[in-house]
Amino acid sequence: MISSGKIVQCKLCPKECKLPQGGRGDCRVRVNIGNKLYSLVYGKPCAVHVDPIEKKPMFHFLPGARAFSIATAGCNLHCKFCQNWEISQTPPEETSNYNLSPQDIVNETLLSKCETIAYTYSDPMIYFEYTYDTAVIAKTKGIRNILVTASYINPEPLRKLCKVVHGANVDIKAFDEKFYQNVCSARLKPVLDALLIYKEEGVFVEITNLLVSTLNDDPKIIKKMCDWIVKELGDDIPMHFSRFWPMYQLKNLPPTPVSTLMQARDIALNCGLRYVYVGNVPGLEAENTYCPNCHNCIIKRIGFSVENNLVTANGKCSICGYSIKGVWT
Amino acid sequence: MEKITRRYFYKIILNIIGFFTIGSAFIKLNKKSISSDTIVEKYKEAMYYKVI
Repeated sequence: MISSGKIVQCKLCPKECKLPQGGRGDCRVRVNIGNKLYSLVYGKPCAVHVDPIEKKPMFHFLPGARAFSIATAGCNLHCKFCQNWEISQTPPEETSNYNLSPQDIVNETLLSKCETIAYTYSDPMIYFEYTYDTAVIAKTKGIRNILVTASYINPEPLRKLCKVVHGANVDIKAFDEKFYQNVCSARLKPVLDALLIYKEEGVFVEITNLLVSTLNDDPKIIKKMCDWIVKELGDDIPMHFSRFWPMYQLKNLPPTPVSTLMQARDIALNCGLRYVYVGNVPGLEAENTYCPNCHNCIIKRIGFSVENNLVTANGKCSICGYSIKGVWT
Repeated sequence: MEKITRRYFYKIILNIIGFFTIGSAFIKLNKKSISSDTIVEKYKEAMYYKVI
């Protein structure tokens, strides 16, 4: 009898969904079968690509490297502006999936001559077991593991993952609890807690803030976010302000004006952040890395390609010798 | 704001074309050639849960 089953509570993310027999989590990929919780997407990525690492975006992590990028269906956030909603807001039965074990992913990464594996597109936290098992094998082969994530995850599983992960790009949707609740179906506080855990565990982090016109582009909120980052994480953490394109449930809004993105960049620089970038607008000088000491352009980028890199293998500006935060070898 | 020169403009266009063509080629390659001898379990028991 279905009613005889017990409730299973998922403890992976702060939503901590309580699932009756046959019930699924808010992420659509974790299910209670016979009083056990199962992942429906282990070994079943629906997206497999080779990307430049700049696309993640990771600008201070092996510039020019290739990232073997994977994702499964599902997500524990439901952002109305999601740029990958076709897979993130879909159950795994409705996506076309591969059948690739963690070992297969590592083998394909080596065959593709990729230096890194990026767990990306949807959110690696909801395919946690697949991410973790793959990252463990990859690490033994010298492959770097990168998370591209909203980091809506409980502290215990995140700390476990941090032991095998080398870098992360963490999305701060907005420095505003109401925005998280109304637009993303989540909360801000656990994301900030996660950022502090990455720092404690020594995982290299870059931050992305997608600016959605009229919803989270208030200069006061941006300043508040940047002040928090400088105080809690440091002034040398790379920060990306990314341009929103009308998508999913927010097709009624215009693309973010470039002037808004540049204004956000100015705010971040005035708050003391040293490396601030503008994304999804190829051709801007704000795609480049400038040495905070001598102010010369030390990494020239156009779109996803690196045109020139003047950072030495040991992470110094080759013009003045200033130490540049990042992973360079 | 730096102006986009003609050279950069062409590079951006090539980047975009390259991204889509290489990306789609890779996906096709995957569909045909990526296969696994490993039998991936239909469902994997999850970490981090409790029975109430």
